Amino acid sequence: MLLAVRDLRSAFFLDEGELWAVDGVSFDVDAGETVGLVGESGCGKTIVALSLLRLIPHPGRVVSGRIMFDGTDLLPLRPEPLRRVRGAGIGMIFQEASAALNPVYRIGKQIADVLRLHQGLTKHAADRAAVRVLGQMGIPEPEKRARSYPFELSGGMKQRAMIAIAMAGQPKLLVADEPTTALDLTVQTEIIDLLLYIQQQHHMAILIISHDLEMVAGMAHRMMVMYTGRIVETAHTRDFLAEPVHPYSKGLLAAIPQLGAGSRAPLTAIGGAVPDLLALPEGCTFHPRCPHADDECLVSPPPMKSVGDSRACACYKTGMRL
Amino acid sequence: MPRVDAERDDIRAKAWVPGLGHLVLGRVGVGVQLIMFTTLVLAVIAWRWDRVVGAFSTPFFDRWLASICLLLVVPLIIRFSRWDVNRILREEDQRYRGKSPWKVALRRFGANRLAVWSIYVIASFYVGALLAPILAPYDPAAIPDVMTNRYLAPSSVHLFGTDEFGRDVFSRALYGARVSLSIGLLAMIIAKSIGTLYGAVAAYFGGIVDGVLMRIVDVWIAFPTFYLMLMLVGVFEANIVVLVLILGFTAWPGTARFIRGEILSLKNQAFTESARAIGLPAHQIIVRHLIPSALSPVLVTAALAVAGMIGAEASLSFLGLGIRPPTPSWGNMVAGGQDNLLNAWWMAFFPGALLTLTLISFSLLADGLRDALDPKALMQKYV
Repeated sequence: MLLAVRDLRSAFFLDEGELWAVDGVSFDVDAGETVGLVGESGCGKTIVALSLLRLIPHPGRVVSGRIMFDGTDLLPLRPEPLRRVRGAGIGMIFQEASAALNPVYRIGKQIADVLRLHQGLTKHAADRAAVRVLGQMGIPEPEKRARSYPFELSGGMKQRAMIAIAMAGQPKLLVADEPTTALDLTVQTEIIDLLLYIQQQHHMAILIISHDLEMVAGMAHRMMVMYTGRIVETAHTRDFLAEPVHPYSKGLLAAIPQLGAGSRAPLTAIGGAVPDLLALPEGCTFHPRCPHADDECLVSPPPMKSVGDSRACACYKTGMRL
Repeated sequence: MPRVDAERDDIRAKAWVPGLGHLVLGRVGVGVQLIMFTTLVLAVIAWRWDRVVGAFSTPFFDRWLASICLLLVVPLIIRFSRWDVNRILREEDQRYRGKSPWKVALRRFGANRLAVWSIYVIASFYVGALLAPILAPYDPAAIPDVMTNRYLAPSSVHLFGTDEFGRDVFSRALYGARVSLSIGLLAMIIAKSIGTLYGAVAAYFGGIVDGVLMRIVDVWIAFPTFYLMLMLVGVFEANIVVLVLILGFTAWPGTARFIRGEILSLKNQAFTESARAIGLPAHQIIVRHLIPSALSPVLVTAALAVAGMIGAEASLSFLGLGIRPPTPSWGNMVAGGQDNLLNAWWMAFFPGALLTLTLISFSLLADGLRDALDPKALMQKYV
């Protein structure tokens, strides 16, 4: 097991109260595996990613849980060994490449920085290696691009450059937080192909986080669905697509518009809205929007229970055929 | 149109004469400036050759420095001329180099005429101050036959006239520039360096560190600075070093507070997060990612700060608490001239005018920097 997260709880301590963005999340990622984490905006996906490297900004922090990565627990780790995990153990790519790249440094330098930091290369060797890494990311004319500033690159190029920065540390796990959201559809496909290609090359695990269910389903071996800071369903992608168990997962799948098929039909959506994390409903947090909710659902949040071959679901109603 | 190798070698050879290579390449502006500058330097060396060489037989450090700088300029100009010609040739080769935000800012600054002229004024004043022992027509401290030489009006013999002891006001103003200008620059550097690091550390670490550090700043700012300076100047004997330290150490808290605000907004930006995500240690994040991004507004305030420091030194000297006569500073020269405003207006007028010109130039420089370094425009794609 490369990464084992157990009962992770992260909160923001705001003036208005405690906001539990991640509330008891457990999951595993095997070496070389691709795991998808999906959910609506604001369900805590990004905070899960940031928790892994303890990057949550003030006033938030990881409160409890265990993050076992490659045999070490990251949560009690001192800053110095933690820095070696950041970048070299777990690489991260962020939502908006244009914001994540430092505007005042050349692309090549930003990659070379990682190489010098984690592989101990000299300045000169790192500069040359940076060009090589850029080339591996499918960037044409890498020598030229290494000397470019971020604002001189297109969106897709910037995303590739950011992946290059993440890959320069040769991480065992790549956490990709909405890697394609800011890109147009054709570039999205290219970036995903690139991720899958480098995964094969380096036998690296990927944790892909997105609200784009279709995109994640196309990449991931396993899927996890998150709602209000909790994982409500995990399953192999194949099983998940064939038959989602949680009512929320069903709703998400049904909400994907089908191109061409019955194009006059109105789009389906899950009724209601994501609840305010500061004022979560009692019991199962999905019950106000759930078509099957009854009194049982109002009492306490449902625990995850196994519902078949390596899949689990947090719903009281899974026993029944919904 | 690609050049053949022989042509390149020819241009490179011409670049040994500063400016000639640029002229051949069609960079007339730079070329003419280089030629004029070189001629000027050579003219000064030829004109004051005995002093330039004579400095080395005196024990005075400042004379050595002036002579060495003047002589060093010549090889440096040649070196620059050749380097720049090579650069232009290389860029003609289409060898791509990203358009750095600083380069963009520099180009915009160059388009602002007033700002460029203010640079010229400031630079010539600093050069004049540095080369004072070589340029000054008279010894600023020497008192000749007082009765025949005092209160002489400006003329070709005494450019700025003479004062009550018959000393040459122009020479004294040149030497006075050394005090005023160096105090301004050094005190600014001290204040901005301390303030920048202090504010950046406070903002980056936040929490208790920030709280404690910024409360210290609050207390410091609450002190009326000018009276603090008056007190310190009273306690220590005022010389250049003491004044630089006092001015520098009283002025940093404003910068610290300002930088803290800048960094607070920068540290939650995605590129800081990604710098942390690749495992960069805190001090490198502060020095290499946060401070450079916060630096452009600091540069603007730095130009204003130099003006402020020069003004403060002049005020102290005017009050008789700064640099003591007979060492000239613009402040004490104005102070000395105020009693003679009616019969010898030039005594106060010329140092005062130089002071004013310097302060205005620094303000215009700050304006130009602000426009050129506007962070929103800095990242614009096309300029």
